Amino acid sequence: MADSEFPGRWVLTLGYVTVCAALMFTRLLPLDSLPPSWAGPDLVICVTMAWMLRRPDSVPMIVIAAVALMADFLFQRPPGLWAAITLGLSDFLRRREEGLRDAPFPIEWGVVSLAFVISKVLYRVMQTLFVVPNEPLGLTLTQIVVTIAAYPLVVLTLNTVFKLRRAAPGEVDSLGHKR
Amino acid sequence: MAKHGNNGEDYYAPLRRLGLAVLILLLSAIFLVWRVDSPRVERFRMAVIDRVVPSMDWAMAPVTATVELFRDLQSYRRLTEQNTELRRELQQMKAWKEAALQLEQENARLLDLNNMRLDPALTKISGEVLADSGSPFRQSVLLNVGARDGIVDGWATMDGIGLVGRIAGVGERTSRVILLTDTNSRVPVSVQPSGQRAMIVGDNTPAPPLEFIENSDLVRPGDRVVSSGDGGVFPAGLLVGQVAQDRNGRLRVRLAADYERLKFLKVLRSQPAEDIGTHGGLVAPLTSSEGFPDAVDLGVPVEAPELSTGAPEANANGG
Repeated sequence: MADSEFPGRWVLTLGYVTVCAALMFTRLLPLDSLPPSWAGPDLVICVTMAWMLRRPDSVPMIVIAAVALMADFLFQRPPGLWAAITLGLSDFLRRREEGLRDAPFPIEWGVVSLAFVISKVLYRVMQTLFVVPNEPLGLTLTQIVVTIAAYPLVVLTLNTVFKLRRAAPGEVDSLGHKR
Repeated sequence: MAKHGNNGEDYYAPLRRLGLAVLILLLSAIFLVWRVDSPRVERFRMAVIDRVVPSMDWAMAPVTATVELFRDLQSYRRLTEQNTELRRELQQMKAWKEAALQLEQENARLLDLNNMRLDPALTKISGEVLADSGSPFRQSVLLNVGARDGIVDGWATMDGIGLVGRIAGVGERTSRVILLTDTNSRVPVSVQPSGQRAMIVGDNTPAPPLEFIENSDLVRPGDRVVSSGDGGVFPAGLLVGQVAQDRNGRLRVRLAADYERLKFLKVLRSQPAEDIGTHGGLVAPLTSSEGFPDAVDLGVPVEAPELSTGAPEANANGG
């Protein structure tokens, strides 16, 4: 894994882990103890998806799996289930990344939204299959809507902070390697 | 795994797929283990949280404090809003307070009904108000006691505190009480402490006027008004209310009974007034023949001094 061909890669990996940790940290802040009537966006998955479509080489599967598993543990979710789905989702996007390079943003957004909705449905189906109590459907629906709405903002923020943008077709890195 | 170099991307693709499968299997296995043996995995989860979250505490406390601070600032901006909100709540609280006071009064009234002390010759029948007159011009209420309970026309009716009216109309199970405020109501009263006699004449107002006062100079606002028992209809001494003066200087009675909420009423079973038929029976000192027992009675105190004189002697002997 210790590829040295692209120096910025591990920095970006570190950035991804840091961003996810910060997001989890803010979710854990003891600010509200009342049960909410609507769910906030799942920003970790947003960041993962956006990152995956921009710099897939900087987020290896093992990192995504570790981050998602940690999130499962911290957020009292069934451990492993959402992490596995996240991993599958990220790999789906990793394989689509090259094809989406020259697509306009709305198409990317549509693909991401569809993938996320399918993941959520799969999650609920799996929970039902394994007789795990599901979250209230209303909360899931609001979370899906809010997460999809938040995706462009996440992309914009990552673009600003980490200079993450989609590679142009045929773009190469500083060492001339194909990205 | 997940190598993504320039050389042999196709070569690494199967490896990557293998890695993905392994990872997903691993995660699914964790999920399955959790599903099968939940307590153990939950303990593990707690251990993870126990390790991770306190290490964030150094950052969490200040961040939380800062966010709370900003929320406080926001709440300062919402001060007017909160003020109106509080005022509205206060209004609701006032309504509740009113309800509590009403309940308290009702409670006191019911307690009073139970504990009221009257002339023991008077017994009472308690009834509940079924209906009022239904007309603004007739002041009466319908009680749920009637002839089968022994109610008789003309009996006085009170709530826990004061006179309400008299029975006028008795049915088998109900009876009508004509209130003091009805225009047909005339009740003889006496005003305490001056003892002036008067009549309460209902005139369809909440405070009926006092008429036929012998000497109205002796009657002052605030005086107690009680039934006088004149005419033999009502027992004497039932509280009616207090004298009050209206704007025109007319004396009226502010009724003691709570006319706003007549709910439980008490019908006083009046004893028939004792009639003195003869005119000449002089209640004189007892005749001389009956005076002897007095002399016998006097004999006892006469003996007493002897005893008392004996006592000092005994003391003297002892000394």
